[in-house]
Amino acid sequence: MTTQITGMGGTFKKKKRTLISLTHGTYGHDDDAYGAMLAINAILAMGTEASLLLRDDGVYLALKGQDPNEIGQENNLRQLADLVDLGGKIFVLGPSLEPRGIERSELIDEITVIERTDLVKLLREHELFINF
Amino acid sequence: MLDGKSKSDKDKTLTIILTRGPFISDYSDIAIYTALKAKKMGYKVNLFLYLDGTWNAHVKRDKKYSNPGEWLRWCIKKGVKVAACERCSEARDLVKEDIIEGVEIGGVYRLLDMLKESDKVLTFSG
Repeated sequence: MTTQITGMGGTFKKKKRTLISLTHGTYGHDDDAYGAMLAINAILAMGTEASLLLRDDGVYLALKGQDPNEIGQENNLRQLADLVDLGGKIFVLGPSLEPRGIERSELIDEITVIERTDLVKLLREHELFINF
Repeated sequence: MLDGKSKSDKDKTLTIILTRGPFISDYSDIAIYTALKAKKMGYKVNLFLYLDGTWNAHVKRDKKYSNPGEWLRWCIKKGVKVAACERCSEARDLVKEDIIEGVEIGGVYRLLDMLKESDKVLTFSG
């Protein structure tokens, strides 16, 4: 904890908000996706605010209807569902979608698409930034 | 800080997360060297080895050339807290006997402890 405000009624310790960014695709770079999801869900489970930012190839994580069980891999959508259940937010960088031919309707409903100009605001809203 | 007492640079904590293994890119070298330099400058430094980053703790023996294991041993000697993700280590069959003495194997919650006390986080991932 960084900030301690001492005043009437005791001490208030401000919790840090963490923004985790994922720039890699899921299947083929699944260790990065796995690592990002493991970290963010643990942070949320500890009661600390955290958000996931998907950009570049990371946007593939939020594709609807993924089912890689036939190739022996875990479905990322389960981890995203856990994230949402734990109160986390998912942001997708809009400019990363068009070059990959991905429409908003192809992504899960729980995401918020943001533009480049929103990135600064998003970064300001979080004290810690971790990139995978 | 809002209570009027500013943290001096020396009281600040840097946490470095390394997700890449040794000898495949410069990430390991730069991450570990940065940890060492920050410690020498007086900062409190945590280094968390995550995903393939756990392999860096496996470089135990002396070599004729500069290597991440050597820098890692220096980090520990100088007081950098070094931890390796337990689940990532287990997946790679990295056990305590295999890794550099002084590297703690801890769960992802160990990383959260480090994050809580951090003023800055640097991630070496790619």
